[in-house]
Amino acid sequence: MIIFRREWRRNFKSLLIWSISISLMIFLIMSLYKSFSEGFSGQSIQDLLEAYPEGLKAAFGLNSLDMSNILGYYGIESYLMVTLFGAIFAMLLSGSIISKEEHEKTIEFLLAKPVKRLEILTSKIGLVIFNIFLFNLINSLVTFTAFEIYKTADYDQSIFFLLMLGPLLLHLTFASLGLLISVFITKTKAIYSVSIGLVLVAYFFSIIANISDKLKFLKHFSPFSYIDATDIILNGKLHLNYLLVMIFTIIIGIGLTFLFYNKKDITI
Amino acid sequence: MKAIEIIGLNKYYGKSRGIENVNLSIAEGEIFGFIGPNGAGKSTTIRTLLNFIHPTSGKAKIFGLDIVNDTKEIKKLIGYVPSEISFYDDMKVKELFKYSAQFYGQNFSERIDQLVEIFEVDLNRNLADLSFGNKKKVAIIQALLHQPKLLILDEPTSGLDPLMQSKFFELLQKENQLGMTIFFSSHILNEVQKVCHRVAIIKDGEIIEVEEIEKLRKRNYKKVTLELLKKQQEVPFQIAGMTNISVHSDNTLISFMFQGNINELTQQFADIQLKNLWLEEPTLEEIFMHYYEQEGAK
Repeated sequence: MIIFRREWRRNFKSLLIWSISISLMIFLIMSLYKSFSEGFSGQSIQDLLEAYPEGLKAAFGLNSLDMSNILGYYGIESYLMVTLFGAIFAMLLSGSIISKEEHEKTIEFLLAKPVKRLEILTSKIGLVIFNIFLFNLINSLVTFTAFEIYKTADYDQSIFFLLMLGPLLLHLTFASLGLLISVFITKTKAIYSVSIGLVLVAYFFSIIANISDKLKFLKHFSPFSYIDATDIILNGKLHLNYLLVMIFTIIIGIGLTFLFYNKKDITI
Repeated sequence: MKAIEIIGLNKYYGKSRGIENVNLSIAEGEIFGFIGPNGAGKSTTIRTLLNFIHPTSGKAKIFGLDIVNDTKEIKKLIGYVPSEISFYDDMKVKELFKYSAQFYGQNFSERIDQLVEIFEVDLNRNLADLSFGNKKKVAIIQALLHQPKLLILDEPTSGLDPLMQSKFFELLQKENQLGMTIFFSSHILNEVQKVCHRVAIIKDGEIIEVEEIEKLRKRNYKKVTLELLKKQQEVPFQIAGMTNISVHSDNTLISFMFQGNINELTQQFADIQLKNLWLEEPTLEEIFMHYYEQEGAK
């Protein structure tokens, strides 16, 4: 608990900034929904969308989601905020929390205290999960409030729930990868470029998979595709296989982090 | 029970050597010096003892506890001052002490006050703003807070001014009298000599000598360098106690290590024509070389 408390204090500001800025952004976007949906009935926006190239529409789900529905509007306009930026937030947090001690050479101080490596990791990984959970909780609450304020008709709340659950799983998946990478790469700059690069590549894969039929298989390699908003809204569920892959990745990622860190020679 | 017992300890980083077949036994209550040039394996030995790195083979125990399996128990009993000191840059000095104390489930406020007074540390300074010397002091204090039974110091005096060094040595001796065992690594023989009872000398990853400091002192080596007026192929004289004789390239400079009757040596000087003469305390490096060559000769 000592290390957990310390990390809580150390990471509080960043949690606050990320949560507030993302949820505020979502709130702003959602506040435009009413005027947007009114515009929709007047054909003008639909005409505008017609003019978009097919690829672009496919990439962002514009061809399959109905923007006049609040869930569809959220899926197209806001979902990316939470998934992409949230994944970056998760990576920044998970990639640095363990490696920072080595990069800043404070690990010799910490390891000289009566505390096991396993205890250090449990606290730090526990905090990563806790903060990602809080980040998603804050976003979900703000989004829910926005939905309730700006809705023009009732919406399917179970789909809303899935649209909130998906990003949480996505963030935890990326976080577990970030933790694992940070056991091997401890230079803060290097780990940030590797882990954020990974997020962007995964995001890119999910876009490509939407556009090109030939490259559709790429969606199996991108967690972003696992929780695709179009999929969730049209099918009303998360794919079981993808769900299992994410849970498996989280467990294996964290498990390997423990395993390798425990055996690791810590030289600074 | 031994404070530290190291048996056949090896550490390789991949293929490169860390330490080889290190054996050491340090009794409770000793102040033990661990000297060697940079890169000899001092820090590797210490980091293995603290389980920052895992031994390739061999065993070591601290107060009878295994360094790998019982590392948490061991750390309740030891304090450690690393050679390179870095602290959390978002903390103040007092916050670090508080954080440190929490791991022992106490607050040590009296002890902190005492130590802060001795070392003249400002509790309200940010750790990020401290000079190297002040960081060292903070590191020493945090290692002493919980009154460890064993204190492990890796190059502790670098960065301390001479006044602070002597205060520090005073404190070490006081704590030692109260029962603290001290393991003191350094590359400066001189400072080890001041406080230690015994020393081990490590070179190229191997312990080449373990000796009582008294005996080491009695050896009283001098490094002698002669500059002759005339070129000479041979050393002009040979007496007992001369070792490591070397004639330098221009054949006028001759140097050797001398351990023996200094009067016999000075008599020899009378018979030769000198341009210059140096009588010096050997550097640690030279003492190592000396041991090393003797080892080779055996």
